[in-house]
Amino acid sequence: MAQRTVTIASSVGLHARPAALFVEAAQETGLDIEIGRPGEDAVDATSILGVMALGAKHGEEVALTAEGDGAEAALDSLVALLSRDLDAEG
Amino acid sequence: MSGDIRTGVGVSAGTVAGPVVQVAPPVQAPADEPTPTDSGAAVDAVLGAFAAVATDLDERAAVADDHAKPILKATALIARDKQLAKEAGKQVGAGKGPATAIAAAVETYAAQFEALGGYFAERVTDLRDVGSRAIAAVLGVPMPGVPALTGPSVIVASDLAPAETAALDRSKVVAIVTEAGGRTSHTAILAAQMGIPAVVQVPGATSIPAGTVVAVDGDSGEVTVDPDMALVEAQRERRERRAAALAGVSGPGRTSDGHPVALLANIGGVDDAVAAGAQDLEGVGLFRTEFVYLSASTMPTVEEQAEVYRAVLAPFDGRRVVVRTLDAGADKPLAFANLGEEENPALGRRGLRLCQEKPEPDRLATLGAGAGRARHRRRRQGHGAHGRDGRGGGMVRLPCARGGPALGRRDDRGARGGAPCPSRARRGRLRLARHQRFGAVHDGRRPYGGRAVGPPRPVAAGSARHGRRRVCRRRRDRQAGGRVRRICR
Repeated sequence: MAQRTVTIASSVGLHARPAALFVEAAQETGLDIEIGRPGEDAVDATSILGVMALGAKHGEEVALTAEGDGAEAALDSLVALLSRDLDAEG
Repeated sequence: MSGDIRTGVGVSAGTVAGPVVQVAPPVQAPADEPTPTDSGAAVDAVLGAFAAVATDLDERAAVADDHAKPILKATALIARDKQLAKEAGKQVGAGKGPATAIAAAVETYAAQFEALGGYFAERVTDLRDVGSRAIAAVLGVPMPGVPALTGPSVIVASDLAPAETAALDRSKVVAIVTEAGGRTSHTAILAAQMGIPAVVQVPGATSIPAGTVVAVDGDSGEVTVDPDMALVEAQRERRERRAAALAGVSGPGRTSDGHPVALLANIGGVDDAVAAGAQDLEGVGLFRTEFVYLSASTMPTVEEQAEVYRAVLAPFDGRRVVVRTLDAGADKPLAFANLGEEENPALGRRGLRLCQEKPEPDRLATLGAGAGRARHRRRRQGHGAHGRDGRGGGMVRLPCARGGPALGRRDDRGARGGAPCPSRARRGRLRLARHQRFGAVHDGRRPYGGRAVGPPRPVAAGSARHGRRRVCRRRRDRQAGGRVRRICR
């Protein structure tokens, strides 16, 4: 099982547009990916409602876990995504 | 011979014919939906409904503009959410019918989001919208809201909510017809702003089948179902005459007997400002800032606001722009300026009261003053409680201003909201209003008592009305040959 922790860079936290971008990216990997606060219950990273209900704010740390082939690479790309200020872009 | 004529109230002039697009009202699950006999089929119906909604939203996103596209795509993601479908499936398992199960699943998440507060308020609206659409799909009724427009369309609805009107594709809407509404409803204002014909209070409008061609006459208020060629042709000629007449006029507005009537636009954002600024008019009678932020989930930053105000003011260099600060609440909720439930939101904590309770939106007021200070001398705040830039007082015609007249100039007639710029001669009266402790808290359509106010009536000096209201002593003193002792009382 692959695992990463990352700090949310989006200035408005992981909601609305950043959440939608993250969920779309998670869906594209085709893997079972979960996201949650370290040490707490995780939610399905491909569920927009789950991710938004997590309510992760700017500067908060979240843990990502994934299983299956290519899990490491998939998490690396998701970590890179969350490390950017998605709200400030286009 | 033309068909069926329905007469309503014309609220925006002009004539046009086009096919009807019906805007369906929100759908709710029937209260008496039976427990499904085949729960497997019921679950399939739920999944099928969510899939249909997602597909519809994706299709709309594909043709939407850059602003609407991410919103529609994010909403499609909600419709496709596995957890939401799973929750609805669970509800079916507990014996609920498919529509009721969808509603229950949506409310489960809506409650979670509402508990989170803040940023999530807007998403709750999207979530409920998805729910309402999925319920419509399950029940086999039209999906609520304005459908994707494929060509020139006459929008027909019971009434349009401000958020719906703001999201209309202006390049395709040729006229608006509503069954409810009134002369001062958002529909009327929006249509006038877009320069397209509109008729409200048209009996039976919502029962006109979609696709039926109707001829709309925004002057007479007549909506003709299945018009004959002669009528369509006559309307076309009128439209051309009107366009030619409008193209041939210029200069300051006045009546045929020479009385000045300022031509001022009513705008709700940058697009309106650009369109209005290109016209030969004297400025803006009312810039309704809350319309810029209807879809914003978070407080716009100072820079964002300044950019909007600069863009709005730029086309009016040297002309007046009256800015109304956030008139949010009731039918125009703003996610970031939500003060929660209240008994009478239309007369509640909005405008000045909102600024007092929630100081952050007040930056809007500050910026309204700041963004255009350099070039726009004649510009007022929606309220005067904030420093030296708060020129003028209440934005409404205050019928209660201690014996004062309705605040409004004859030449401001027609400017909704009655937010006149003070001429030098009127400063005295405005000063009077400024020192009053009245809030500018409503939109000027009706005074507090609920009686409709018409345009400000001219008050002839020395008339009985003038005298009775004890407005301006100066003029009476002058007439009596006396010294000016005080301006107003």
